Amino acid sequence: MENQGNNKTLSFIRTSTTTNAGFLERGRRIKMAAEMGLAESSRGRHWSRALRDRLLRRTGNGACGCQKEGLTPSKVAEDLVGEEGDDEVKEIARKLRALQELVPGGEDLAMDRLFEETADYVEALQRQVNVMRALDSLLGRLEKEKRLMGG
Amino acid sequence: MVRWLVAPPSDLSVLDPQRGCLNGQQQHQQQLAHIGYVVPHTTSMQSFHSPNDDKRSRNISYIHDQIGDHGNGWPNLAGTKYLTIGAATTGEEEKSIKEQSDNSRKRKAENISHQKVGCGNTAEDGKKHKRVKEDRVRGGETAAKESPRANNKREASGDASKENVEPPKTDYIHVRARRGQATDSHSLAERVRRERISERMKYLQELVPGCNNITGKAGILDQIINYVQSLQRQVEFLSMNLAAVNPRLDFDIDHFFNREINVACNSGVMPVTDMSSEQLDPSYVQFTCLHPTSACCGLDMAMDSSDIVLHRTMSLPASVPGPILDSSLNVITSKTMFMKFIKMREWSKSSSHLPLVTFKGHFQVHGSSSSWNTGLQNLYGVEVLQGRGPAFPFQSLQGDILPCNLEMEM
Repeated sequence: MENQGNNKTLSFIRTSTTTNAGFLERGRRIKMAAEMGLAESSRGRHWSRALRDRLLRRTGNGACGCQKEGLTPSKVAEDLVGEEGDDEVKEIARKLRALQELVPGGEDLAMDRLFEETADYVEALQRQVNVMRALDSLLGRLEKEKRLMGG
Repeated sequence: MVRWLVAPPSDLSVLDPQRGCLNGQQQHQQQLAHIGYVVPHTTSMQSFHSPNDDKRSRNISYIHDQIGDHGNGWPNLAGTKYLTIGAATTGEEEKSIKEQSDNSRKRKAENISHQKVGCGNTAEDGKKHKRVKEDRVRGGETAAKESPRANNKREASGDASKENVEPPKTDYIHVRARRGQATDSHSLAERVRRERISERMKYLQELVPGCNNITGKAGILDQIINYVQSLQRQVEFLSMNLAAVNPRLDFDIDHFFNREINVACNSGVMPVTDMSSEQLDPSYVQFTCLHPTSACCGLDMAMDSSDIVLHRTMSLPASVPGPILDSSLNVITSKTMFMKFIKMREWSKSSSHLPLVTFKGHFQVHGSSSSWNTGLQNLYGVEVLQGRGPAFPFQSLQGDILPCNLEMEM
């Protein structure tokens, strides 16, 4: 049977046989692939693009269309918190900054966009975790069966 | 010699094309929940599949309608003096009341009771459906109720009239300025912006499990941050697990990152028998399946988004599944769905060994290209010896892929 047609077929040919060596390295590579998958799953999103850039070690060009809109964490914190004291505002600003660091590409996002991106990122992460868990259990079962079969 | 057989799936119990997306998804959600997966929040799922039902769908439609649109998913509200924002729930009303009181602290405080009364009067005709709109034309079903904010101006009549007696089905965005507050567009836009932010925070609150009972903004932010961190750690942990479970599982990173990943649909089944120098007879089977976007509603979330390329370096009787279905669940945005590439090396230790690649297909393909129909180049290869195929826990994909069984004999 021949390949039915798309030229852009990916081929991953690996001839070396690695056993236990490089377990950590393999884990890292798997994680990288998983993150790549995560980024691919939500193309068009700012965080997805930022994650992709980071994985491919590309410097993101600023021409992604996202503007800062001049909303710093402290300003938004003040808005959110309202009447509370100053240190509470600072605390919320700190948390917002932490959230910015967590979400890929969050540093250049305004606050309302940050929340949007966070929501989408959280959903994509949930999906990713589900898939990986399923894959894990499946592969585990296959390995077990292989062992049972005396493979 | 490789012979490919295509047979109808043996188990169609989970897959039911006639069943509504929601049902199957709920069932699968139950399955997932039973197994202990992270089950996404129901509202968000529903919004994906039945955008007309839930008010959340509106929010999601804004949040996700971002293709080529950065930051403009939410309409720009600056510059309008009369804005009415419908309160979605009573809670939002209360929050809006609170916000109103927050705003009024800057001026001399207002009469909160009047605010409540105002809200109550005008909200009764509101279907609690929060709509923030710019243009004036919207579908009738979404028409809603705006409940204008309480107007505290006593001297309303004399003023640049903030009284707005809009019919319930207007699509305007109306915001009433409160007494003593500047009605310039700047502060109004600020208020609208604040509301936008708190609306999104509310959505996040629903998304993150366990923060429904937390009221403080700081607490909610804490929960969100913790949740994101825990999800990231889970991904890392699971990838380490995968590396440990399968000592032979590896990725060819160079190829992986050097090529473009998204491609049009392709079904390539290319088994290559190869007499290598190894003592066994490897055969390379290559599945390439890349499916372009189709509005795949009903695609289960569990199978979504993983772009893992599996490559077994050693020969194993078990085939590697790699369902790398990257699918978009959002009907509105219809993200692309990627099928992943599985490259398997199979060999048979003895001549009678029949690696069987089957998968319980619970998939349907709607409107896919013809390459799909000729069986499968799918990714769920699970193999077991001689005709036994273990059921996948995550096979209950509804909706978009043709079910098929794939047998490969050597």
